[in-house]
Amino acid sequence: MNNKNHMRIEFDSKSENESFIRTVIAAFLVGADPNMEELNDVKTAVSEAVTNCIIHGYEGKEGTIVLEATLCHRDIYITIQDFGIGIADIGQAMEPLYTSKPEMERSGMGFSFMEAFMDTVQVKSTPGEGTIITMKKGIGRNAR
Amino acid sequence: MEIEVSYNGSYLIVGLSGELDQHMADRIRGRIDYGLLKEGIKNMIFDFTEVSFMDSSGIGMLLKRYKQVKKLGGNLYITGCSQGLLRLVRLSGLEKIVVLKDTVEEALKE
Repeated sequence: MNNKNHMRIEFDSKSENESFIRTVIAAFLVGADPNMEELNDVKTAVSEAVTNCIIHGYEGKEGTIVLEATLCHRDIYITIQDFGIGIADIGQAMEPLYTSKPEMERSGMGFSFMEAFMDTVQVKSTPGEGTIITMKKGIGRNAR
Repeated sequence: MEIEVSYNGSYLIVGLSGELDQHMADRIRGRIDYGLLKEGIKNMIFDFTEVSFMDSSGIGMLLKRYKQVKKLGGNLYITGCSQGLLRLVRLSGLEKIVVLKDTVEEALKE
């Protein structure tokens, strides 16, 4: 039996799609038999990454976001990519509580939550071209 | 996400249900701002009993409301959090500055 599954979805950078994409990743993750906490962890991390694309990558303007996910046995690998303005200083962007948009009631905790809920988070970005966030989580690692 | 706003003395009570993300935080902001304008309001209670999901957008919203009630001389209460939501509140450090209670009634007794 092949324990590998893959999906790719492109969607508009609209905030109403935050909920839609959480549903998509949750449905995809079911194949790994996650517990509720693991499911919520992945949903939250994906929600954070997608919101970053909308708010920061495209600054609320039109754009396309690409979500790809691969399930290999019980490990999920997720990439979320935008083609927006990119991040000039990734280290600064990932600092807890840092936000470049304080006027928008942003907490600056997005990356911190991604790192707390996923096993690994990598950020690659080129100013003017966009950003790719790659995350990985092993499902079923914690005793139930 | 549904929002229900009510008042009790100096308390503005905001009951939320559904998922609190950036999209929903933007939609409910105006209702909360309007509620804070009522004369005599200086405390806020956010009831999360019916909230099934929240990300850092909700934390940002709560942080802003905390700053607003502090300027009014009051406190921000959060009630009815599930274990999942409590995890976010603790991770963000918010639990050090807000008052966590199980129910709205307990918060009103303060």
